[in-house]
Amino acid sequence: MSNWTPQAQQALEDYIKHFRAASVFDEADPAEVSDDIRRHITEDIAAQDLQVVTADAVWAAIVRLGLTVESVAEPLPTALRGMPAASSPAPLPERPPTMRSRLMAPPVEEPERWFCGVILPGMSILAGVWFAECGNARPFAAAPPLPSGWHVALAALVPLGNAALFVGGRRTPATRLPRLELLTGLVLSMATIFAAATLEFAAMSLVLVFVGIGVLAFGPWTAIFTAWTRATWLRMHRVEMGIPGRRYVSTGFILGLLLFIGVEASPLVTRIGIAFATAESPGTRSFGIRWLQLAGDEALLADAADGHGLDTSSLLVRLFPRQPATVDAARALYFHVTGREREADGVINDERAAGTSRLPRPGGGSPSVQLELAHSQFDSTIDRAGATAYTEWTFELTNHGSWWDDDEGSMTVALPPGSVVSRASLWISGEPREAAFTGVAKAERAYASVRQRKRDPLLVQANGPDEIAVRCFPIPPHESFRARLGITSPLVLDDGLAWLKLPRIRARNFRIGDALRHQIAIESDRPIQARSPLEGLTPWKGTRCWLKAAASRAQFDERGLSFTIDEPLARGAQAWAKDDLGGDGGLVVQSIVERDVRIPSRVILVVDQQRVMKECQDEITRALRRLPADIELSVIGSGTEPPTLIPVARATGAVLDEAARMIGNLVFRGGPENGPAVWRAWQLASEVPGGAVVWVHGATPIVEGEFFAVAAAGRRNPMNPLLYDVMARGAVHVAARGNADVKSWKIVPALGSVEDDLSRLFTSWQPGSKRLVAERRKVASQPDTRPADHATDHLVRLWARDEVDRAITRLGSGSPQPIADLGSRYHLVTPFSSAIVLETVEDYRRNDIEAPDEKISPSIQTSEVPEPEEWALLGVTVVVLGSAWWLWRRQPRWRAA
Amino acid sequence: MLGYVPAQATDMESFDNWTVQVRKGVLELCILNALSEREYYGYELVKRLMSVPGLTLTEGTIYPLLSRLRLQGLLNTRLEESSEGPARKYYSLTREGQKVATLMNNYLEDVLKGVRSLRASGGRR
Repeated sequence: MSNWTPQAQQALEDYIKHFRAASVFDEADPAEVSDDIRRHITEDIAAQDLQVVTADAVWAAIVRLGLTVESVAEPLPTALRGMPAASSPAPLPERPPTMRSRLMAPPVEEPERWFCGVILPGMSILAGVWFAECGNARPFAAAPPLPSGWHVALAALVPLGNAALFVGGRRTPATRLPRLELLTGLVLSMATIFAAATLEFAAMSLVLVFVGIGVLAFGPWTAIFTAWTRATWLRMHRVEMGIPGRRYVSTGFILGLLLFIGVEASPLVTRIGIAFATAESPGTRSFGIRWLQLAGDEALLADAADGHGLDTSSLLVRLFPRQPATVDAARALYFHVTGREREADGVINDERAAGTSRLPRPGGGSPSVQLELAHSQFDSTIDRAGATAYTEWTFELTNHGSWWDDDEGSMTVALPPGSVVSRASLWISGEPREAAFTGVAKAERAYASVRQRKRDPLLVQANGPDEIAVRCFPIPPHESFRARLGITSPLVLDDGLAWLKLPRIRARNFRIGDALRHQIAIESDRPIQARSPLEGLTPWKGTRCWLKAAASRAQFDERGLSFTIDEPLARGAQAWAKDDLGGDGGLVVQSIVERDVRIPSRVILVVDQQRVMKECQDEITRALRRLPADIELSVIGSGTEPPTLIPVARATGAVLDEAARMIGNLVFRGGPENGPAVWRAWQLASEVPGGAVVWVHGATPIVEGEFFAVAAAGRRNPMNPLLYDVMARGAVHVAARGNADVKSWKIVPALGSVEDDLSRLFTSWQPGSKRLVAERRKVASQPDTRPADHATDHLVRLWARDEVDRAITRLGSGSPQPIADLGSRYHLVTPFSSAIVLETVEDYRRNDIEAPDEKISPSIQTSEVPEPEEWALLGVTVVVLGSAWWLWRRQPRWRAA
Repeated sequence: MLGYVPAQATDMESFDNWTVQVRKGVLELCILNALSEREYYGYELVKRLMSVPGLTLTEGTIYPLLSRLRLQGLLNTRLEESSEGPARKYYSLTREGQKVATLMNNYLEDVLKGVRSLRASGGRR
């Protein structure tokens, strides 16, 4: 396309004006004819393929087309009079270009225009991206803030748009001028937004200009300048070409603003919701949570819960300064909105978040998406006589990361009720090394120092009652890290069975693939039953009873896995084990005794309305049918203002029907607060002697507010009312979180389904019900009053764990060192003692830790027991060898015969 | 070139007046006939018409006529972008334009037949 000088454009317009004034249009449209003539002249000139169109070229075209004097009446423009013939056009003198004409003359793109419109803004954006990649979203005054990829894309419109205008503008036909104007408006809006975002750092940038890099801050501003001059030229050019319309640039500008608002909409809406959800007023908080449930961005909430500031998500969020003050508050908000624990949810259900989720403190470690659980094997042995079980969990983590990227594996593990970790091993150079048990602080220091030197440490710590935190380091890229945890558990004697529950991962910083199967092998002297359907379930009975199976991640996630053995211990059964661990000899004796069940006179059932609890709706209503009819019942929902579904009344059939209907109508959404409901239930239950609260809930990461009031009341009056903690979904009972000393809080073990667990509880409230309890004590010699079975030394470890619990209860302001010593002596992970594996004896010596005594570590000999197939092979071998021997013995007789 | 040469100045003036009238009379029909072949954009149509011997047209006369025919509903127009210059304005016949072109052609044929027959009979005399 030719470049028109302003004089040429003026000449054409002069001619058109006079043509229109002089012509007789005779029923024709003057404007249309004028446009047609303009177009015709322009096309004629375009056909000449001139580089630069000057005024005399225009007049020459007019003459050539025969449009001069014949078509144009007087007065003619001065330049037109005496116009030379087209064949010999005389060059017209042109004035030197002014500043304005330079700016208004886009056909020749000067280098400075490229620098100001494309290069400098582009460098600013690259700097912003680079700084953001370095981990700081608002790192430096020189770079515009680019909180997300969408913001980068919008900002990139500035240099790209300018480049398109510079390159494409020269060749674009006139009819595309409006589009170019739209693009210019878009570029202007983006440049303006990002220039405004850097405004607060303008002063600092001015200073930084003197050191060079500060000039980057002016990228958006120079882009505004070039886009503005381009917009002005385009508008003029379009008008000259006779293309109607005036608002293309402003339309483009508005379009840009709308795009920006579109990108900002999600974080903005989320931020507004957070402002409501973190308000003081409970009503406003509920509104904010509902807002976030409907329109909030879950990924942003997850980011906040992972400790990333919300400022990183949007440029406009600063208009709404309120945000969760702490990571814990952000996690609570995430839970209220989604109904999922971030610690578990982020890494268990959402692989995308696996790399960003943090583990709960203190089991935390660097998150990694590269680590994967490659192998998991549970080997359990059940000692019926001692009502104990010992489970060894051997796991292997593989690092799929880059060659320089050592990773730390980290997880928290929920243990079976009353269990204790009694062994930890780490494979170093292919050899298993046993853990030393020492004080918590000493173990942590040793782990930190060895980790710093990139030696192999494994650390196992208590992370609350029935929960441990495991950390292991380093896991080199493309290598595996193998470790083993030994867990001593008491069997739960309930419902005429002895129950074993396997430990389960609660939170982790590694992936578990869908294809992975946890391998399970359990042996006992009694037949074993799996309480849920498992893959490859193979029971086997020889001299011992075996069960082999495999379980998927989902099966573990659901409620954990439980197994039972038939013929559990009956009342009065006794077992003993020699204490070789404590150093002072003696025996630990365990007696199974019967205790009366305290039957409540009034039960207040609190149903958590958390999202995942919807799956348990029917199970709860079915289990309620087991409630004795002479017990008073009330049912309460959850939330900041919990609804009373059923007022206090005898649990008759009609009341239970109504309760089932009301529970069936409940709305389960997000993660509502349960504290107000539990507190209200507690008050209702307190109105009568022997009241009880049954709280059926999902994962509850927030234990605060009214829970403190309930716990305080429970400490003051440990017997009235009782609070039964029934965990339907999740991994840790609320009662176990900082409230273990509140004796009125009772954990209902999650052994079967929710219906099973609730039914067992309600059934136990039938008149005359008893419960079996294992009582362990230490004596100097074996009791001779009644026959006692010999049990494994896990009985001793469980007694020691009981001793630790008792010592903690009595601790007060005394020194915890004796408790730590007790735990270390018996090889137990307790709140005051941890297990640690270091690489060398020198590492132990340097950290003042006694090297482990491998002789007293428990172990399972299951691997030496032949598999069923091996038994068969062995049998065949025996038969073959026997036959051969028999034939050999008979051979002489055959010969003799 | 047409093979006629006026003899005197008065004859020339009279002839000029007559050719202007004829051109004016047939110009609309020429436009309609040109567009009955296919659609043309303005610049192209003008060039096409200007190539017809004896019409001696200028853009200043064709474009007002095209505008009038469009306003009368005989022509359609549409704009189409061009990589070589400004957008092109294409002209085509409407159904009405086709009918009118047919009527005009028939009428002109009849007139020309009459003119020829008169010329033949005059010649015989």
